[in-house]
Amino acid sequence: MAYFGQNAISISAYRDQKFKGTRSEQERLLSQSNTLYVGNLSFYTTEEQIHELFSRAGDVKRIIMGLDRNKKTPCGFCFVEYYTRADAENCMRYINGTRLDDRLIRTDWDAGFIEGRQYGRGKSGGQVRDEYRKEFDPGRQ
Amino acid sequence: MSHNRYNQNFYNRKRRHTEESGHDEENKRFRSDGGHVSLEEELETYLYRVGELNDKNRIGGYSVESNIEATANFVLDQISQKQKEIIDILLECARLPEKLTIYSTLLGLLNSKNPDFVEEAMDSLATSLRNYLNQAQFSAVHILIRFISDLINVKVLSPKSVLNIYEKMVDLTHEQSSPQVRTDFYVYCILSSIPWNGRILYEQHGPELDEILDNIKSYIENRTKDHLPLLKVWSIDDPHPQEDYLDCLWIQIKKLEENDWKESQIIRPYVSFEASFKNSTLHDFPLIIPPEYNPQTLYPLPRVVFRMFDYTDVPEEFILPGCHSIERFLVEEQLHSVVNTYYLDRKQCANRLIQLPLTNRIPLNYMIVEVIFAQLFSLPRPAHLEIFYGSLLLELCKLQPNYMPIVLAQATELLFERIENMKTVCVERFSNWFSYHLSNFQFKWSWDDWKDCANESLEAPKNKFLRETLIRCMRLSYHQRIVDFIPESINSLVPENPKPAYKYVSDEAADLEGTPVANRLLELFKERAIPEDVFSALRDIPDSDAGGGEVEINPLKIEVFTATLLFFGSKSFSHAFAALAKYHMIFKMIVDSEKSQLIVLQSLHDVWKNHRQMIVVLVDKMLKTQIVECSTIAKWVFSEQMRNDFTFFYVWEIMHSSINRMNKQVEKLRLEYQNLNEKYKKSDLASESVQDEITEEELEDKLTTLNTLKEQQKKLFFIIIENFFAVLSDYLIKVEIKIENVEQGETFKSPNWFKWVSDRFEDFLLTHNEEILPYLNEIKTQFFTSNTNKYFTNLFKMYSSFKE
Repeated sequence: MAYFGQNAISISAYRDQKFKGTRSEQERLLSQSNTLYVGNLSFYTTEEQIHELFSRAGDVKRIIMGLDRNKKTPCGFCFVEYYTRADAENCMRYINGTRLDDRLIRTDWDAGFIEGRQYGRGKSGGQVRDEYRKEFDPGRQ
Repeated sequence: MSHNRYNQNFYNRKRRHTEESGHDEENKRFRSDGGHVSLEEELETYLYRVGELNDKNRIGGYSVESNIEATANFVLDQISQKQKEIIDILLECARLPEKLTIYSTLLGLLNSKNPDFVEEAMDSLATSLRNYLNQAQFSAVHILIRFISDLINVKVLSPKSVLNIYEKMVDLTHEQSSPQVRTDFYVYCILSSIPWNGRILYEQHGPELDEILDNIKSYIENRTKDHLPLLKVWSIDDPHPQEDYLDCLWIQIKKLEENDWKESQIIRPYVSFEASFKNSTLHDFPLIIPPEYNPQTLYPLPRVVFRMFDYTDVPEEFILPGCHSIERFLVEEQLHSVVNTYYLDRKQCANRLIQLPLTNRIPLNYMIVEVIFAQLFSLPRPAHLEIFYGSLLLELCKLQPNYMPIVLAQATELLFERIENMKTVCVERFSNWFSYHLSNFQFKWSWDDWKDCANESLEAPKNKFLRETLIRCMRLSYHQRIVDFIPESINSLVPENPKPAYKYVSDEAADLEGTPVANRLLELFKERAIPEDVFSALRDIPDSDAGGGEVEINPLKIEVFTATLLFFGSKSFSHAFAALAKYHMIFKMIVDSEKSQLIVLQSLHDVWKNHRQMIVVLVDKMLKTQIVECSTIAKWVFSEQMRNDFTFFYVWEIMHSSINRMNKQVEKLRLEYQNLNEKYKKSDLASESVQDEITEEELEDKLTTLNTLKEQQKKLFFIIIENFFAVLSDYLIKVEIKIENVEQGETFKSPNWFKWVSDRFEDFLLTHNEEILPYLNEIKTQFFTSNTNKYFTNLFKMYSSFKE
């Protein structure tokens, strides 16, 4: 039934500000994408753990770990690409907002991975959000 | 905790709103266009939400009845301009099972004021019901049959017209050629609708009702149920008998009949409006005739009723309806329906479950948990993704933090206690769920309570469950984490540290023939050497002459290359994938036979024997990149090397994922061929569209490819079946001549071992029944002799009756 179950997979308000292309192009890609951005990961969470959790929603094509631009170490996000849109939707439905390494992780549609996006965009090399974070977060140090 | 949903909702209205983000978003959407709301949107919202007192936008007073009445009046005003739209929305609403009586009340009220509109609506409903029947959408058919059954109670439909439909359905049970799954479905439709209208039928059409029930009785008594053991979650009926779903429902209906068709679970808002229906026009629902039998149709598979709780398991203040009371059926049925309607939104689903309208002091949380596990353990496959059930249970724990975790812990203990009799694949699902659940609760569990099983044998069910669960926990976290949370009493169950085991750097390396080349390869890999250079370094391991100018690749070459490459890429999946991709062409050059593929798999296992997830993922990668084939993987699983791992769950994860890949490929090609064939037929008719014309040759090529692949698929199934026959017969013969564990190290051939392995065989047959059943006769000819053990003849007897 069309009326139900669309909330969990709808596109959030976040838009990649560095997207090269028009807004409508971005919207189109987001609505067809098989790729998800995964945020609020611990710096210590490994690709293996992500694979274990995310393959429970479907067949994972690849995982691209987000890295600190300078240190080349994980900095708390990744991209997960599925083979099909349906599997990616199931991930949005059942994994978004659940825990991995004791952290509530967030998944969001991504227009598709482009080389270079695996690096944090903060001044320090990590993610911008960690530069604004005031409280201590042992999983992201 | 209040047990009347409506009161509860009324008091908690404010709180729920902040929690139900799903609802709020829908409400926002409702007003999203800058405050302008179209009439259609308004109608849609009022109709979908009717009877939901927590809806901010609802109309009418603080009772369900007044809300329904207000909605009916609103709709009546719009009929003149929006008749079609209203009917369309109502047809969708009629498929919301948990609100069925609300919609029948609404229709009753509409009918009392505007019978012509309802006549139209009934015609549309009949059309839509016929469509669902023709499209084999059986759950929709089932719900709509129940809906029209309830429309007798609101004086919309004449009882006779609904009885006529029942009669047509019952008539099928006399057809000789009809498979049981088909007649089962229609009998189920009737039996599961009668609780709604049994009383009125009994009062007004007693003899007709009796005749239908007599027919069903003789049908129920004569059904074959050979398949039943295959679908049971537990191998014994103690403490809960696992009944066939129709048998159980039949007993429940008989009890309802004994009780003069009075039940106490269904909330019927229409009772308050009886006076309004007094002068209503009764309509005859158009006669619905089940479509002719079509062998292509996939009917719902038979089921077993899953029960894990009885009244002694629940707190005293609640009364769990007995397993044969109609109330137990009604609550379970509604819970199943809610899960199946809202499974796409776990938050909404959880909310709807805990708000199920109740009239009795029923332990709702226990019943919700029982229904969710019933679906999770359903054989051959659960209706939805396993992780859906896991995430739904997490939501329920969030909504009821003081109740749900306690019920779940109790359920886990019960399942663990009964694990000895639980089917292997259900133990696996249980373990997968439990590890996932714990990973959301910091792995907090009273582990020490389970310490007794640490001393059991490795094949003992509890021991195995616990070890497999810890492996899964490690896959979701990391080794040290497991070490940290596991008490000393069960330390022996902690999985090995998942490090690579690379023999060419070990103490024994100096004595190994392959070490010099292995060292050289590792250097080359580190220097990012091109594949050609790596290949020439491999030449130092000489191949042998196979005669006739043929060269046989040296197994050592394959072993050294695979092991060293995987060791080089051992840092993460990405490193391993990159290494495999970069040197893929070398695999293509040296891995040229099934024998060499087996060496690749063995080398992979040698390096990663302590990291099972890595094996699963890498075997899958090698399959996708065509380094190894499905049939080789199957042979490897049954090979000598895997003997000690044979009952580990990861091995079967590999097996099933390889088979699924094969099946998916066949299905993909089949669709491609089908599309091509349709295009071909069309282009034959309209010759002017030369552009995308399909030649006969193209079509034939596709068919040949499809048939070749189907042959491979069949070969794969036969390899697996042959090997299962071999390993299981081996055990059975030893049992027969009473040689028990005579050979040293043969401890794995125990009754427990037999259970793990035979369950895997049954699961393989059942899970892939759609693909395997067509070959049933061939399988029997090939594998059955006059000496075949009774175990196999029994199994295949059950299997053949599965879809009869």
